[in-house]
Amino acid sequence: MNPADVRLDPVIHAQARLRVMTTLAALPTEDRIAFGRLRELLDMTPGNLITHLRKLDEAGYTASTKTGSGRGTTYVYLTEAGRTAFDQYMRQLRALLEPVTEEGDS
Amino acid sequence: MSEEHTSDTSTPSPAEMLAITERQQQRAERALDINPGLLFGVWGAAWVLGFGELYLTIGDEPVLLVPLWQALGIFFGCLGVAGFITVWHLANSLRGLRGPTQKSGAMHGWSWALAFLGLGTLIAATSRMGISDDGYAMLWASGSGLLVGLLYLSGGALTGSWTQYCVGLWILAINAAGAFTGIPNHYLVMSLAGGGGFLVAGTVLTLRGHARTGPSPSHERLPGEPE
Repeated sequence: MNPADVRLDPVIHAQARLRVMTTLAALPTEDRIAFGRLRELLDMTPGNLITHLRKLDEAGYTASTKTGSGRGTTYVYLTEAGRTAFDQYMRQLRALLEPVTEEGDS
Repeated sequence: MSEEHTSDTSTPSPAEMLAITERQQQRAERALDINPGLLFGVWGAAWVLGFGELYLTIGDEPVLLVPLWQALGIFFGCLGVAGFITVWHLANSLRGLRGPTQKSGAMHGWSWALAFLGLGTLIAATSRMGISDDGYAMLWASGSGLLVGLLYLSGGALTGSWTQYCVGLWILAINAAGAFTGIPNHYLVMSLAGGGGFLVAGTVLTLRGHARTGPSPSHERLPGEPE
């Protein structure tokens, strides 16, 4: 594989969204995190985080559930597709940085 | 592509992106992960001090002359501080999380509370039949050791953690052997071998934690975490 051909997933390949994905991937599978706690771990403004989460939602990488009615807490989590995409992104990123070791690997 | 640049000022190089994700991963893990080294350290200190103090103050020829209520007060004070730090640490780590990890953590926490409630009930019922003060003290000390050993055994089994499992085996063994030394000698066994065992486990886990800090795979799984 020629490293120059690697096309990094544009949905993840942006500083803010990569940090969101990294944080969600640090949670065990099927665990969800409250919007407020996620924002704390990222030091993002609510508006900023909502914007990026919307993009990740649209790509099917993240999803959220809401507890209670009205002003309940929103819990965000990584979907299976999101975890797969993140793992692949990380593999590609590492491959880009270590092109020498990639001989014969697919 | 132009749309990309409206929300993100710039896209750094792959090396910078890798550094960003590693930094964020460390930050998330530090905030979210339960630190078993800290908890073993706290409980180790509580047992060394608490049971050590009981050994020195209780018995026919105590080294230190302290009223029983004060001796027990200091003992439960040590355990109370350790319990407070444990609850504080768990609440901090698990804050804002929902899902299987939080659920099994809560169930495990309740099993500790219920186990000791059960032990208390059993000893209260037994003491109605008339037992000596030493018998009463032995039931509490060795009964607690049995529960702690069993709970670590099952905790280690369910999370696939050999460290926890071995701590459970160790506590069961020294508790069974120590019980034959009687009161107050059993307190010394619980203090040095029990509390000391926790401190060793805490040190091992802390050193192991430091050893694997640094560039790590995309995300390491906790022991026992579902694949």
